[in-house]
Amino acid sequence: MAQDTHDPLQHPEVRLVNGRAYVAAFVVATALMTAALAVAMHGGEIPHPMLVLSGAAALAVAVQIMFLLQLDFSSTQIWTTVSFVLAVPLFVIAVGLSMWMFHSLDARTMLMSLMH
Amino acid sequence: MVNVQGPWSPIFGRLSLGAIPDNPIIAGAFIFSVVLGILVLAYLTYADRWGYLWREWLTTVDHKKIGVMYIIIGLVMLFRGFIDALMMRTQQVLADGAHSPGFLGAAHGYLVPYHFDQIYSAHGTIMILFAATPILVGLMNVVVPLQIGARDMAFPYLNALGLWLTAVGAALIMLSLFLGDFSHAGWVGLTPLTELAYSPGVGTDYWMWAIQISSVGTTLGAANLIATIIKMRAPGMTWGRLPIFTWTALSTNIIALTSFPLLGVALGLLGLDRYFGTHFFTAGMGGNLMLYSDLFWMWGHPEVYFVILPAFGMMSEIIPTFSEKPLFGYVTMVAASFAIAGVSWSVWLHHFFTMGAGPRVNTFFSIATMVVGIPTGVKVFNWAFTIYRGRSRFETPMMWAIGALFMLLVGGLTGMMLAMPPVNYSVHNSVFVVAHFHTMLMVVVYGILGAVTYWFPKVFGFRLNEPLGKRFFWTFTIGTIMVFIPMYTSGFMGMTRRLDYLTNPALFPFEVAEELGIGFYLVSVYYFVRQLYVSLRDRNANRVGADAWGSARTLEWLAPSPVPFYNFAVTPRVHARDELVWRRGQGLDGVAPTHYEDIPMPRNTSVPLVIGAFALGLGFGLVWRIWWLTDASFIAIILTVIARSFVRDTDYVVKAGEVERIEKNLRQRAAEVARAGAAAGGIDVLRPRESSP
Repeated sequence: MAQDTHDPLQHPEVRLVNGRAYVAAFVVATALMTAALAVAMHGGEIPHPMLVLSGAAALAVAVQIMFLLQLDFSSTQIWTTVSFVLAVPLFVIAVGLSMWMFHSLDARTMLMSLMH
Repeated sequence: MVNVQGPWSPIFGRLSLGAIPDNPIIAGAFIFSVVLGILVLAYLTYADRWGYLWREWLTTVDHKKIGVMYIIIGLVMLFRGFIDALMMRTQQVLADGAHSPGFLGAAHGYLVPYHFDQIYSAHGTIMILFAATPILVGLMNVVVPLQIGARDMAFPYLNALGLWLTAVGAALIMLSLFLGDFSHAGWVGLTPLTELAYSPGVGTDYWMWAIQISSVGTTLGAANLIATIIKMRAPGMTWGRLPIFTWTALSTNIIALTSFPLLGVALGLLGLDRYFGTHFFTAGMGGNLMLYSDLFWMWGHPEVYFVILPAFGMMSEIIPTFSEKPLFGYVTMVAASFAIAGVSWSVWLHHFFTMGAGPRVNTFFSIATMVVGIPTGVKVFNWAFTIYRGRSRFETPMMWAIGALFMLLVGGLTGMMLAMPPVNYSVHNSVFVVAHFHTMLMVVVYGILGAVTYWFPKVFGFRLNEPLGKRFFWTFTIGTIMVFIPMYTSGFMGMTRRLDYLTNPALFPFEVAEELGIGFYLVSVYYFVRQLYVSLRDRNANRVGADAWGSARTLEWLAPSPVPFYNFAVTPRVHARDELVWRRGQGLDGVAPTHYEDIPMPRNTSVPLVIGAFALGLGFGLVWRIWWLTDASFIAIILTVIARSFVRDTDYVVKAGEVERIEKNLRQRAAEVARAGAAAGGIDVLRPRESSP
């Protein structure tokens, strides 16, 4: 229950606020997304575009975790960090099984031909 | 922005007088709503209850009142969804065979196909997202803080916000009845039918934004309940002593928190398609229409367990109480709940086995689906062993719980059949599937009705009428059997779902049986309303003490009935898994605290209601493409949130003396109830005491 007996600004979560880290995260994420967009638009000219895109996405996630969400093993952030780690299997299941399914599906239906 | 068909003006968007439907059935519904609305408003004015309504309900942050309002919204929507079902059944019994008559402009039956499509879409959307979900969230809201010995939810303000966002979703759906259309693409939103090219009207937009806005509320509520269960437990309430309903609430809300964002993404991408002309889910142009089904069911299947797990929790509370025995296999029950929650993430493809994925993919998901049967089986046996050699009493909540058990058996076994991909190649999209998932959802409905009866005295201080409750149960059960057994049969005979006209006259007898069944449902609705009315009228004869059933086991039954706004005068210390049984055994169940302390409580606030009102403006503006309204509402929401963050006076303190005075009054009243001897409140002294597990 909300008990406003303490100064909210003294909460450890609030103390983590760091303007420079936020700006850095924003700039890096924007740069990565712009690069990813460029790769997507000129996919043919770059070797292994899917790998480059996945790499950019992974890098963006890492930057956001470190600078924006500031996840670490301190007593304040450990819950959030553990929650994030527990969500990784769900991510693997959701994305991995979907890719497997669509790979199997595309080989058997006309969906791929519709995409062009 | 995509250009839409038809006229558009900057002030009214797509809204015009032509949006008002000229259908006699809708006109009837409109008159019914208006009359009911006028009656309610007249009563509030005549009885001078506006101030009470505002102070005690609309601006409240009390978890019990918010829970009750969630349940009221859910029951109203349940009624609306039921009327949709009644209309569908009547259409199918009328429109059977080439010689069936047509009324109201329909070739067969009385509903034109486009209207029929909207009815089944509304029925599904309403029943799952605006009836089952709010009622379950409401029950969790009421019960969980009481079961863990907390004063309120972790974030009371957020809790109220979740309620009002859910209310906005429900309001948008109700508005779509009288202003424009509702979606005709099924509650799942069949792609590419939901794309602007095939659904140029506002129906799909109503459906999309109602779900989108209310699911924000559900997600916030999930975070709140998880935080409450983890952080707000009373001293001594270790994980091993957590009541089983709270365990299922935890597992269910983990599902909600992880899956609802996926729904948001799926609908968001559909929104981009419809408003900005992108091609995520189009057929062709680089889009992939199956991606929508994939994303939707990746949420949709966890959502199925989001609604079923709390029902399992309710059954696990009701059955021990009325068997007067501890729950059999507590640890396995908890493990089974989390196993079901975990597996819920890897079975979604069984909703589209026939889509064309290869045998390996289908086999994987088939086995994953069958695995769900293991923890569910564990639960069924645990309940059976709890009842076995117990002192079973068949009061209404127990009847509902046992009814749910039977539904689970039928639904579960047909689910095992549907888990096999070859079976799906015969019955996919047939009414056999419809009958299966309705039997499963009946587990939820039976659980809910049992739980509402079970916890009603805790919230309101008096029990619901038993004889009428029994009539409600039996008419409802006969209705269920008569609707869904013929539906299974006609599904096997090849009847596909969502039909506004049946070509096969051989199906007619089954349709008649289903129509009779829905008639029984109608009678059961009458008994339910009558039960509520009679119970309210005779409430003074049915008042109960803290333990309304005389054999309750968990912490919530320690607080007075009705529960005071601060829940527990002194935060209880928990000693056992079935705390009340332990205290009864120690002779401590009626002991008053010797020392009271100040209680800090959250202050009422109108901000969640205001944000809800702006969200309604936002949703309405988006549906009708009234951009000024959309922009203004969105900015207003952000400004309100910012303004609220400057409000520091969000709590107040109830002084120890005040708490003592309230408690004394409550104890005195409880003693009077016991003297009056009506409807056994408190503990029945003739019943032998049992030891704690």
